[in-house]
Amino acid sequence: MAAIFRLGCRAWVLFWIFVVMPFSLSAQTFCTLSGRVQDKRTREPVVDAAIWVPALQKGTTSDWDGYYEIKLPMGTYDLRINSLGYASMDVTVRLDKEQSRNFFLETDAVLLEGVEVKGSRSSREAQNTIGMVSLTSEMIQKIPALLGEPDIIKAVQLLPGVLMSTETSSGFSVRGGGLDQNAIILDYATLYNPTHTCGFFSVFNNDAVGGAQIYKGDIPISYGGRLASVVDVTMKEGDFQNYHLDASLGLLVAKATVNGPIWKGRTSFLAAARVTYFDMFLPLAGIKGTRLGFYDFNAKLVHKFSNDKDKISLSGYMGRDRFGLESMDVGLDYGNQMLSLTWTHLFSNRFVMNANVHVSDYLSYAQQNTDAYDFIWKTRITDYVGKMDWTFSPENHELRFGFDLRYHVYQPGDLTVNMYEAIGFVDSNYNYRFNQDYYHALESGVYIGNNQSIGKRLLVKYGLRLSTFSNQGPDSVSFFDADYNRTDRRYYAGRQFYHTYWGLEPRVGVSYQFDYDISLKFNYTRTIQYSQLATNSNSGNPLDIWFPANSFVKPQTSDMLALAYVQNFSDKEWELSLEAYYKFMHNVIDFKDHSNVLLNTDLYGELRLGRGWAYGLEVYLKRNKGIVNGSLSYTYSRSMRVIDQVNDGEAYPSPQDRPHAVNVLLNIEPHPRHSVSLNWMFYSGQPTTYPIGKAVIDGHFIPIYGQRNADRMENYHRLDVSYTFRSKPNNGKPYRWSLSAGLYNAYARKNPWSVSFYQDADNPTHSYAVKIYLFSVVPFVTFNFSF
Amino acid sequence: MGRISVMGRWIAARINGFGGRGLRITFVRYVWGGLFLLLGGACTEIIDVDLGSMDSILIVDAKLTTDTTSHQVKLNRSCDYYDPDVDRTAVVGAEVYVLREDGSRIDYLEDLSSPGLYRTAPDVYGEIGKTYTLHIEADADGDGSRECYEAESKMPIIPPIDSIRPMHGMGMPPFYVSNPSRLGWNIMIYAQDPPTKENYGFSFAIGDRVYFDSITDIFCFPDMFTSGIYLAGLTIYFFADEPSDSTRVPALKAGDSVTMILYSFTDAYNQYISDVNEAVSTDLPVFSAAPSNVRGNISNGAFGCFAVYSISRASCIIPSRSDDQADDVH
Repeated sequence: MAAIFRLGCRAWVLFWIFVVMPFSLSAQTFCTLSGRVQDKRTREPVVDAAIWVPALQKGTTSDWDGYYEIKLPMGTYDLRINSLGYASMDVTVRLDKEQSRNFFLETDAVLLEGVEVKGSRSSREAQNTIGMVSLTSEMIQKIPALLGEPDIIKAVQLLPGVLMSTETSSGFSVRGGGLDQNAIILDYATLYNPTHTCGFFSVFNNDAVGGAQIYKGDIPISYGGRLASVVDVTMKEGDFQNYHLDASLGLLVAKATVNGPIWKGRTSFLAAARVTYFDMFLPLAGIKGTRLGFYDFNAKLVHKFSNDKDKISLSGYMGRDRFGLESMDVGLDYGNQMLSLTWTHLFSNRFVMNANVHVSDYLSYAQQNTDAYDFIWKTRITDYVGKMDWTFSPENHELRFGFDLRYHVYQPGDLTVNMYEAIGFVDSNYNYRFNQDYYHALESGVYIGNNQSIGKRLLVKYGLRLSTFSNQGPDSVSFFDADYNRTDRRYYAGRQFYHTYWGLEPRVGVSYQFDYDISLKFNYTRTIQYSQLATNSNSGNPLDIWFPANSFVKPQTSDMLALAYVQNFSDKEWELSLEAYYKFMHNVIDFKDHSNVLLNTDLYGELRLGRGWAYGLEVYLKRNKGIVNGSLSYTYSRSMRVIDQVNDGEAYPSPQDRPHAVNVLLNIEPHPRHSVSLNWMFYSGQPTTYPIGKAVIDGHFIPIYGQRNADRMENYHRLDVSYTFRSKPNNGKPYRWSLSAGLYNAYARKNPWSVSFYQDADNPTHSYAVKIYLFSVVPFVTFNFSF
Repeated sequence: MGRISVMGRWIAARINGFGGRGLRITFVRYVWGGLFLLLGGACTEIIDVDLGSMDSILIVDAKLTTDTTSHQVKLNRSCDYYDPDVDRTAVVGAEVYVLREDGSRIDYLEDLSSPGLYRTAPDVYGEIGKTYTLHIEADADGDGSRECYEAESKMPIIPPIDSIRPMHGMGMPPFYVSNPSRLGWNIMIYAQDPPTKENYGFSFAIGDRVYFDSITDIFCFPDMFTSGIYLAGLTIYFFADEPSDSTRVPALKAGDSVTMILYSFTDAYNQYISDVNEAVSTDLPVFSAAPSNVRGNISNGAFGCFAVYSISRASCIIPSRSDDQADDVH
């Protein structure tokens, strides 16, 4: 008892030293200067703008919403406000009381910097997070993109530690994690399939993207439910002062965005639409009767109340992919939709609340309609979510707490067959349904954490997230023995919660700032994932099915340790970072041999569980300024698994195991009106399983395979080039335009998409290997116009 | 469940056949195909890939059916994937026999004119409900000593076919296409599917010539949708008047004698057929699961299957077109 008391006392003393004392040490002769930094033209918040007081050698930066706050002794100061891509601004401020000042920065077209990623290094969170980057739509715009369509997911794929899953795919793997382990979020709502046209495009229309934050594993406590990474995208807010029209016409995609005030200074709107017109070109290629393409809409409505303390925003997204073949009467459609309502309230500049409710829905269906019958297969997942989040930022602290509640409805597969016409002896109006059970589950998370400065050099963060996941009836659940044979099937009637998991997710980190702009960071992150994806492919496709953890399938967990060394040179012109990580993953899922995930009433019986581990070293060098700027990264990483009954229970490389990866991005900007971008990437070949022998049955060659993923396809590498010519930055006219042209895969590398083995039909004793590659060189042209 | 629901179940079975592959293949061929063509075409190239090698294992292709005939077992060794000289893989000098439940022996004797082939006497037949055990002693790994391999299988039950009848007209589901000029002969089956789980397969013969009886051609039909139902005129084959190359189904003419051959497979053999078909299919690998080895039922690491299956037949004569009412023959 005494020991417990002593321990309690010690904890209390530590709590006092680290948490309470710093709060109570604020001096009375100081005044607070606070406000917001915004883009002068669009009134978008400027993130990470530096507010610097040269006289005191002290400064701060604006946060995610452009807000800043700095405590200074009373007096008069010259302030300099800087941000990448904006002209710096000098102002004089006389500070004799608490004061609020907003700054409006002008775009600096001549010195438009910011390469592909801008490490938002100066904010407290960024300083103390390993592998976090911020992107804005302008940065994304500068990367040479496939078919000229800038894409945030393609930009994410250029980061060290992030691997594109297959050519063109919008699926990606972060530090050895699976494709389903990334949370792709748009205004708080999870998008379950972030791709269009099976990965050629992502769901994000860059003209409607305000910005994005990407976390490669060191995930803040406010996020939960995914193991590997978070891509948190914020939809752009409409301008509160002026109307704007942006339009662009590419080879395959046309899009338009309108935004402006509804009530000047108070309410703004944004609407963006994007549509493809591939179909029009298909008859030219001799393909008739084919429907192929997608469309999507983004819309956002923001209202700021007159007290400057409340803001309400309503955003919506809807996207649909449509494939079809008239001659076969077959079609496959899929898409995400979401509606998200957010209320932001400022109790003070130090205390902010965000409340959000949203619905997110992903639906995919395949159908065949003939005169006689039709069938429809569909899979769907719908989330109903409520979330509250508070950030309290007294001097030297950033305390964040909140909770979220998610109600998931999973519909893994549903087949309906309808007979419409009497044929022969068969009557009409017959219908037949083949259903997999729906699954219902309630996921919740409660979290609290602090990001704290101790002295001028040390930053520590510590937080805890408690998550729960409850399966709800009605549901029938299969039970399996250790050999995965089904032993029982139990039915849970009514709306009872019949099984609950809970988990603690501690996340801690420390960062120390040395002289010469060197910092060293270390952290530990635990994440738990309760929803899994059943997929037979490496790239992600519309036939993939989401399903929940239950009494048989335990939630996946990951423990990651990461260490980072970051150094800036020449007044932040150059940045070098070295990051190393080791990740343990538990309850990793794979599928048994010959698994069947489509229309399987016993999907869980196809799963095999095990563990995995991944480790890697990432080197990243970036030049932020200059006529030639860009980045260079090299990653060495491995990702391994051990799964029951797969590969005889021995360790094998996961499909995401690509040991060497290199990414080079160069922007050459000799003139404000001309710029050239080059992007070269190299990956080790994708792990695969090739035959090591064959059996001959009835004259057919039947391959015999050895160890899982023991082989590799050829290495992947390619160069993309783009050139942009734009209107004069200050042309005195109310519009601007730009014309981009470029080459994807400029030196026509035939990168393998798949390798298959065939028996020669003409010479049946011979067999050969065939590589499928998707692209040779692909040119593109896009015209952008903004008003 | 009346006869109507059979049709819906049949369609569902077609869609669901072999793990939803039908749906996936449709998607892959038509949708992705269109996309690739659009973007300059998915290109293919024959490449050299260095493949690993393995120690030889025994490949077994063993059969015992309810027909009274000379049943066969074929023994081979596995070889390197690129090895073109597949004939030298025959395993000779093996001892092969099947034990009946009562301990009596069916010997498979080596056919000296055909290396690796072992045959029973011509008067041998399997009986429904009886269990048979295959024994093989053969030197597959080439070390000079013979290893032992075993497999056990029970002859599955099979319903008699009451009759089959030809009907001329448009193809009926699942052979239906919305093209009124595509006419031909529907061959419809009348039979009671027992309530137990069966794995059916079909092939057919015109006159004496048997079509589609190889392991990659047999038309498999799981009875999960028809179990316990009377199949009252289900179209199991459609013979178009103007045959297309893709189906390889010949046209019928008046006077042809058509025999439908119904097989009832064990679970193990049904799975083996499915796996073999998956292994030789040209499905794009990105859409299929990680490559997996074909599952068989032979012990000691051998590849292959001891196929014990029952067979049932029915025939009909194709009438002249003015006389569509055919007499069915059992």
